[in-house]
Amino acid sequence: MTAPTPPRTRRHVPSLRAAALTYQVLVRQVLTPGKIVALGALGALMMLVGWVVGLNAGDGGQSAAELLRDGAGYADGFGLIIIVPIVSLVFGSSVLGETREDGTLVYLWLRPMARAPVVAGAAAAAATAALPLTVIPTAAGGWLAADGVAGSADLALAAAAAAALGTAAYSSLFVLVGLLLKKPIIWGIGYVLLWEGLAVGLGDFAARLSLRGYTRSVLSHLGGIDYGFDPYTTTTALVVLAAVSVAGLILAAVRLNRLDVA
Amino acid sequence: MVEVNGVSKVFGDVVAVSDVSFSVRAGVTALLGPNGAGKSTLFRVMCGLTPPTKGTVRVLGADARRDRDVRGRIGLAPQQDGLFDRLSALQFVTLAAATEAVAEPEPAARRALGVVDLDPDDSKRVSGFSKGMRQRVKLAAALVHDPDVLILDEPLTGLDPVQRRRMIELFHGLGDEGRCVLVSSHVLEEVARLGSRILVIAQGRLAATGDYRELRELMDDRPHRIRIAVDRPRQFAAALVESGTAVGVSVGADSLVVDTRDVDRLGREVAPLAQRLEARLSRVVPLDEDLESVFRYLVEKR
Repeated sequence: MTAPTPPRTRRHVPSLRAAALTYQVLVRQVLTPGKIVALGALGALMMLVGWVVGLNAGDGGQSAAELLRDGAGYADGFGLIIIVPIVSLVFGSSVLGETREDGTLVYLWLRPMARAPVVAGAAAAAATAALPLTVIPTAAGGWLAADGVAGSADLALAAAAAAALGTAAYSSLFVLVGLLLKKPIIWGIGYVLLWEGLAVGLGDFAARLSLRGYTRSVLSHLGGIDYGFDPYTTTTALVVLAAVSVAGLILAAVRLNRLDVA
Repeated sequence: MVEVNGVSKVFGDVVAVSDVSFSVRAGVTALLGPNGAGKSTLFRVMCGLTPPTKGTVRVLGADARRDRDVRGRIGLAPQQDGLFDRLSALQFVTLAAATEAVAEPEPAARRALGVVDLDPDDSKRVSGFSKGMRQRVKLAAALVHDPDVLILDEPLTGLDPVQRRRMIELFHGLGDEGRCVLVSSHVLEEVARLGSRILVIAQGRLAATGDYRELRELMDDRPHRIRIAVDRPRQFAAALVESGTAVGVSVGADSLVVDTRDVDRLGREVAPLAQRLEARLSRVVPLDEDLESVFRYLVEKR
């Protein structure tokens, strides 16, 4: 009972290693068959509806520019407003939120690792899980809705980029929400539908506080086509989306450090 | 190695831990208490998983919530059953080793799994493991980085008797090596074999400390309450009070409840007394042999 404390060398896990380890375990945890099937079905629905829209549009004698504009509107309205935030919400909020609920967070928390790399690894895991389920339906849906006319390949690429950037920003934001709130899915859906869905229509100031305006600007500018909804420059949109991603991670790291861990 | 000074932890209106102070040095120390007594909360506070509402905790001289170095010197096997269910035992313990900055995680994980009698080459996911196997995976993960302080929350739950004996030997071996091993349990007999030093916690308070023999004596010293079912309860009660065996009696229609400080003597007297009174004795039942009442007594006595 009186043995002295053995001397020990200090051991820390380097930040990159900590992020990689967190990513490695959480990407496996977060990708459950149920989530893949449910969210994959949502993506399939978007592509199916896009195909139907494209078929009907092609029969209406519309010009290529009009078809592209419709395709972009569809990629925005279904992909960027619904698919991207919802899929990011499911993976982002659960990637650390579920570990908190089931008690496994302790295996990442009580470790000689800084908090920021843990959060970064978790957000990367959420984004990795979400990206195929957001980028493919948004890009393919836009392309199908434009009926594959000339220029729709550019539209698909722009939609893919906008979806990818949106997924990164939303994932980061929802990792934070998953650490802040219980039942983050309900709060997140409320945010997506009420704020992101309606904010753009509430005026310029409200639109600036939603991510939707920035992702749709990326879609518009990178596609090189005037879709009629490009309130921000590409640089502004990219900077804001990157800033939201980074700010979400920093706040999540602060939150993780102060968390009561079960 | 671990210093707990005036620690309280309050969740809303619930006082989970109330003004607890103790220090723990190298060796095995058992934390004994009923379910809900505050053992797990106290362990969480010690590990820095939750801050104390009042008081301070020092593990190896630092606050584990703030000090990353100290976090790497603690091995915790939490009570909750959650594991990363999609991993095998080897993957899980290798991850634990890697996140504890062990230089060669997989060989260390293999050794740790061997120590707890699990096959490192079993590729089955831990989600398919029994309670006892999951418990041993948690133990391996807590041991894998060779920690100075081991905090094990109900680690023997779900283990069979042979495994329990093996794990208790392991804990003693670790304690003998100079590590601080803190083990919680709500089973008195388990604790008797666990540690020479015991901290009893009940209703969030430190109710008693000492070795097993001291605590056993303290517990045996308390008044025992016995229900005696008999057809002449009033005469029976009067006789027991008169003889000094009962320190308190309450009489019902067909039974009496006796408080006694000498349960052995009462046991010896009951049958002859029934014979002498020509009473029909049907049952003698101890009412407070459960551990809860023992803890309650210790808390009230304190």
